[in-house]
Amino acid sequence: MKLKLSPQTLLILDAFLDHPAEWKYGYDLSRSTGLKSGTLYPLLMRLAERKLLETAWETGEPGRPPRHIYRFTPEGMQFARDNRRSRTVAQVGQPILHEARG
Amino acid sequence: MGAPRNLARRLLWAALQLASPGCREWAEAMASELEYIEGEWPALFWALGCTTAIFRRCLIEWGAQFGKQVGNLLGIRSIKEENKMNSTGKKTLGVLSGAGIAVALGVCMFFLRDVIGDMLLAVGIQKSMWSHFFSVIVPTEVVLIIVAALLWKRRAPVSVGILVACAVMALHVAVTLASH
Repeated sequence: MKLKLSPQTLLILDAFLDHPAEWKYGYDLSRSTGLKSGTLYPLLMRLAERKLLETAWETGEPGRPPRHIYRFTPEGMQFARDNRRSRTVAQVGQPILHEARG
Repeated sequence: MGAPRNLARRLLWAALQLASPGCREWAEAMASELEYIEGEWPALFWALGCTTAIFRRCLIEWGAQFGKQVGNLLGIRSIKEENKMNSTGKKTLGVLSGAGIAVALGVCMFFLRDVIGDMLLAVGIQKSMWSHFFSVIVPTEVVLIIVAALLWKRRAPVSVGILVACAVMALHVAVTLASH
């Protein structure tokens, strides 16, 4: 799957991976990742367009509007897990490579 | 409700009116999320970011539509190109943005020409065609070329737009100088 994995995208994927089955709110994601809304939403849109995220509307509290919520699709979860695994392998492999190079 | 939150609501409402059908749901999501943000200023900053995101998205979609229309007009659309229409739209938007930046700088410098002329007079340089040429036109072109070179790797289409506008300005200057 072709997707530009910027550090910000990785932050979002990691935030979803912490509790993959849970629905998340935009503002909570913004706080947990430290991303501003202007960065967060374009990334969420891109992930949803690529069917890595599913979106829904949650009935809001009385007197408040419904809230848009997000969570991984099965493909998204697989993609994020594969990506995290490959990053871990790369991080573990780097010192060994440096040592080998002397 | 304080003034910052009021402003935030107005901003998102305006963005919602402009949002294309493709991102309307997202704009609504951002607007409703605003009501769950505690604090006046965080709400305003949230709305500012969201508004930027919506406008950026709209620009990309308009760029894609513009690219599609140009492709249709020129009759150069192929199946392969159709698949790449989104990236073509972005590139077109980039070129147009670059040209827009160059023209904006050119216009600013044009309006500043009298101020620059007065500054030159203060240091003893008389107003002439050549003083205008070296104090207004050459610096503008140099700045644009430097910006284009800096942007080349990261934003090639914007760079191309700047260079095209730069070339047009240079051509205009050359024709003016030749006619004098």
